[in-house]
Amino acid sequence: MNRKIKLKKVIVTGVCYAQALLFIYAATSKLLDFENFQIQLGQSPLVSAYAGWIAILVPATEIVFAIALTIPKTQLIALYGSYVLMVMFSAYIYIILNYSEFIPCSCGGVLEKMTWNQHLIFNLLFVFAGAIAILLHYNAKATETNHIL
Amino acid sequence: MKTTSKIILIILGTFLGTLLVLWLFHSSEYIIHYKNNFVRRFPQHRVVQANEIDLTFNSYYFAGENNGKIYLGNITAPLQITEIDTTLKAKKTYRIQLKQTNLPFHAPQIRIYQNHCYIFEGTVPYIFMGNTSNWTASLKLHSGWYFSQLEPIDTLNMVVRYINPKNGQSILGSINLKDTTNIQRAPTLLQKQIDGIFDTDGTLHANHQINKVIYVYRYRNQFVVANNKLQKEYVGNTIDTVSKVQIALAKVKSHNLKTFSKPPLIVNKMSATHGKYLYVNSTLPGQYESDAIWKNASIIDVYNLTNKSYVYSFPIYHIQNKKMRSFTVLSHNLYALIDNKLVRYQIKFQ
Repeated sequence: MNRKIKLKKVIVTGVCYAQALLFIYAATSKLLDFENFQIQLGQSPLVSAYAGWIAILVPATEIVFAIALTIPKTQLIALYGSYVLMVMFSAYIYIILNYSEFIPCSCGGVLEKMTWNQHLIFNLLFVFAGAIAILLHYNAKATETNHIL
Repeated sequence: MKTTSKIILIILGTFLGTLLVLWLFHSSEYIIHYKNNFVRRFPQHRVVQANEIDLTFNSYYFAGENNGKIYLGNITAPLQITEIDTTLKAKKTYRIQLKQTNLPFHAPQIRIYQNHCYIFEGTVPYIFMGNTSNWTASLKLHSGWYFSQLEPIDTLNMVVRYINPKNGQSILGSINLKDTTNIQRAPTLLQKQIDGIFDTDGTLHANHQINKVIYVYRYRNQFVVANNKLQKEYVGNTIDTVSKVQIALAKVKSHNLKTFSKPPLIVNKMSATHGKYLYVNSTLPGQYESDAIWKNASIIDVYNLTNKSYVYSFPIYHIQNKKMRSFTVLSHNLYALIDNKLVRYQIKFQ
């Protein structure tokens, strides 16, 4: 039993840290080349009209979630938040691939090397892992309190 | 929290996230095309350079087209007309013969429409009309108000930009070459903002596919669309934000003339129209655009005249640091005069 709890904890923490790392990486690569990021968003067929504030909102949200994911108190809410954010990123790519007038060039950083389809799968993996972590998180905490009692 | 409520929250989150992105997509598309906030869209590979032909000189201008041929006039050889097929393979040169030669010729210009040619000079004024089979033209009009631009609406009716002799202001009007007493003027078509002379400057077009007369203002973000009877249909907006002309004028008393006291802010430098589209070469960078593209290219914005929307933009790159001087659009091709060359670009519609 104890081993199972430990394993769950490891998985949840692992997912949280991987997600946080991804967000920090994504946010820094956006902010380091902020002007270019804004230009790219302006050329995005989905959010061009809102490029101005989305360019600030997205990295800001990523940083806030990344921090919240590493604090035990806010971990669960941050997991939900990250889950929705990753769903949005995935939906964004899906729409670009299937419904947009044209397909723009890809994102920045290491992710630049990926095709849109690879990127979509990559995102969906995080969506999946996030969902699992949310489900496991509850159990981990509950058994922890039980254990203390 | 129970596992079931967590699952519900996850499903809810999935819907919420997807819906939010969908809403962003739809509202952003609507804003870009109908209420553009000066964000250009540069889809890749929409307008692709195809081939070019060397003309040896840079003094050519577009005179018109007919039946798979493009016609170029030459300002240094005013009665010479160059005929090039639309794939830029074959080139021929003709010389137009005028039946009346006792006029003060300074800088005659040529327009070609269907199998007719028109030779005109608004500051004399005169208009000759002839045909492209024997390139001989005879005088049709030699009186009336001065005019500064002319485009054939059909073979007999010309739309012109008159200069009102009373106050020098620009007025659009039309002339019938068969009955030159049949002159129409549309004094309210061009709207004055400062002086009615400089501020109403722009480019006149006759669109033969949708039968409209279009006037693109040079110093403000507007273009006027009228029918062939010069009745205003609507005033369209280009995507930039210059709604008020930004020019400052100074009077030179000793010569009794007005001139710019500082360089004017040009908004729409040149334009062309074909089918339901209007193509405008803008000089103003929009939001979130890279400086590099403005250093190396002329930017053309495309507007749909039937649903009044902005469609997209594309660059026409300089050739050996020489900017595009003039351009025209013919169905699926854009032709640009750059340096000594005539360059063809293919436009891919969706």
